[in-house]
Amino acid sequence: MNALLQQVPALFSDGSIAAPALIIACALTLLFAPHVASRRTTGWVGEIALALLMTASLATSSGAVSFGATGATAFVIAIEALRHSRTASITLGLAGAALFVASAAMAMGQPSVAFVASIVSFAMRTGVFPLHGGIGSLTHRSLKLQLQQLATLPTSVFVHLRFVDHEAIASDMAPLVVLVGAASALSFGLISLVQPTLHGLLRASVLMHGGMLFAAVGAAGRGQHAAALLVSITLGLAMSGFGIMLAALEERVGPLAQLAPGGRARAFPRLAIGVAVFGGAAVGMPGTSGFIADDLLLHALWLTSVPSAIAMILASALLAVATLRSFASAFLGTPLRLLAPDLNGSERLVLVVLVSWLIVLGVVPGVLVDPATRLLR
Amino acid sequence: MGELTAALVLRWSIVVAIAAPLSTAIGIGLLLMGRAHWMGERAVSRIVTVGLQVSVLASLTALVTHFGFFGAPATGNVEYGDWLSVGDYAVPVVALVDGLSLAFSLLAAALTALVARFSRTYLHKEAGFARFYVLLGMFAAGSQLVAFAGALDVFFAGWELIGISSALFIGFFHEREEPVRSSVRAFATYRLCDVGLLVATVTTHEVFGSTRFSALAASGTLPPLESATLAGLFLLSAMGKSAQLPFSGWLPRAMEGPTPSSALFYGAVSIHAGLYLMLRVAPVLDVAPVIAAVGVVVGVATAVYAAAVARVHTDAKGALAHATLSQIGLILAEISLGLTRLALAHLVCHALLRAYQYLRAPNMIHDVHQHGHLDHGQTLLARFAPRIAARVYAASVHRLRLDERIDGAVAPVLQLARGLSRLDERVSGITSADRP
Repeated sequence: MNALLQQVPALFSDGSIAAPALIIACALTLLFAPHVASRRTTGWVGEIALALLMTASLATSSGAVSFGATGATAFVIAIEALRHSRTASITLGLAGAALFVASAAMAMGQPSVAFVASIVSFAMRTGVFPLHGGIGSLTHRSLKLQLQQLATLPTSVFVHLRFVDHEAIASDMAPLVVLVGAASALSFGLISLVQPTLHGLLRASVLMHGGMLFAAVGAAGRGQHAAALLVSITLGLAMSGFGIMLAALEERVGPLAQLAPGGRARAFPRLAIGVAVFGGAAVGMPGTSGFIADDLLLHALWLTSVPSAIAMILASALLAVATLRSFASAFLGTPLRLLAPDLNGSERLVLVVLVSWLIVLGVVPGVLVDPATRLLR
Repeated sequence: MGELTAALVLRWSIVVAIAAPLSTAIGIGLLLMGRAHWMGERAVSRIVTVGLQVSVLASLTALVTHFGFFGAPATGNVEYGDWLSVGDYAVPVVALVDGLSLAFSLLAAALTALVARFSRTYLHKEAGFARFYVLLGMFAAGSQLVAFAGALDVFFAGWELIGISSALFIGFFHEREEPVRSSVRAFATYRLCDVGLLVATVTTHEVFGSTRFSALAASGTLPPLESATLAGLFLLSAMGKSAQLPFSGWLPRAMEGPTPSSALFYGAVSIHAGLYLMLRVAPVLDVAPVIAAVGVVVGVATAVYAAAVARVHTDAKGALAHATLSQIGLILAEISLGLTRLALAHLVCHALLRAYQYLRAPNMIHDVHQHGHLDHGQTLLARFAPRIAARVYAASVHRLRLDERIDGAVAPVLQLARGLSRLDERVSGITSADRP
């Protein structure tokens, strides 16, 4: 017992506990936030299964078990998605299968194969163009599942970085992966400009950030781990918060796809602030983790491919303009007479918790990045 | 001992100058989020004004420390450690103390505090009174961050805070359509021009191994193409923020905001932030003569354009905005010519004068009733070349159709976006296994 206790400080100092613990804390927050916001008392089975699988994938030191558990999370969401979108279900099922291949490859001592399988899985789960059909349809057909799938991404990234990212093939493939991710991000950044509704913006924003994450994972192949980790967590926090706020708006005013322009800020001031803060964090607002994640990512991309870094800067600028435009269309202008109440207590709690995460990681990113870097090295 | 005291005083005065307005803004924002009726106008305005006054005092303290009041004169970089450090990449939290930073800091802090006091009466019983003060605190923190930033990453954080608060001030009267549209337009211009600053920040790090402004002193060692590219990126960003041609279209639209915010943003501080950036990166401009020449041409062209438009503008704030712009153009030309001291003096005097004129703008109607209109008489151009004068008049009235031209330039991008959106729908349709 004493020997075990003596090891504890070492485990924290080399990051082998602190980094996974922080990631799992963040992932669990993301996983349960939509549940808490919607005050649902049933249907926790899926979330509990995902929580256990994510914890297992981070707790083990075996690459095969980690990839197996991560693949299982994709399968759990794929099964649930079957009721809403077959495209999403197939996409996530294939992503899960790729992760099982990665798991088998790790068990057989083939980390290069595991790397390729993991990258293929990321391409499907982040919705890189033209593999975005499934993830795109999930936004429209089941926002709850989209948020679940976003919650599982940080753990997948961490597992990828921990077990297969140091292979020579990762460095060789980095320029290609970065280029594909940046091209996808720029495409969806442009597409976000012509989205007439908040729903369309959410879809384009999720896919644009997916491209960003894919590029970050690619750049990690050249040793830039921190960017990938911070981008995955910021993507999860900002997009989940944005999605939860939009779900709250949908509950009050009906389907977002048919949302007419008009001033809703007077009726829902806190909801409007929530949408603005999460939308801002997603495009690198100072004071949030989005700012520092963008900074790290641009540095990482620049070292791998200068045009990709410039494409990413443009994509982020375009999405920022599209976000403000859509926000203005949905919340500002001639006030509408609305009887529904503003955010309730549980929605406000979720807002505060997610924004606190964004601010803490934005102001002191070292709490996550330092232990993670120590461990991954 | 004296050196140590001076360093300590300087270190803390910079922190207080930035944190005091920010903390009051965040505090009030959080309280209003919880219970909107908790605070009355008086409490909100007093708390933020106190934060701003503390910021002025902190800025003054930094100034006197710089001049050796607490022992040895303090100048140069003030280190606060790294915001983030990963391998050989670090984002340093560093302040740069010199005459330039202190002048801009004191100017921004004093004018913001003045506007806060003025607004207490001016915006009395206006819907959004508390929101105005929260934004004012946010802007003050952003402008202090810009003034004291010793590295481009920190500068960019402040620059973005100024941009966001500026867009929110323009759309302050958000229940009307026009301010909202103008706010989106201004933000789009800012954000697209900020691409230049972001690329320049990353380039600076890769070229000099650091984003510190002090590293730019080695710009002379760069190949001509690299120094020109870097200077061009900085200039692009400054042109967006300071509304230089061809990005001047958003400025008259920005007058949709409340008058005190117009005074602060488009008369005094925000509009000069682009020029401050150019003064900060002057070493790069010095070794990029082509970009310096572009800066002179842009500055002079903007000055001529704005002077012409100001003469024909029919509303007080719009005319003032263009009069401001014409001086901003001249200051940019001065900086590009390497006359940085003159430019700084011009900038400070101009900011003070415009802040006063904007704050007095609502009284113009009263003045006109009292004293009547001033007859400008016929211009020389109208006397000797009436046809050209008529053309200049028409072009000025239509403001060179800048907005239409920018819209025309952006149209192909939107067309590409629509094309990509259609492609996205088609690909999604082909790969879909769902029933519609």
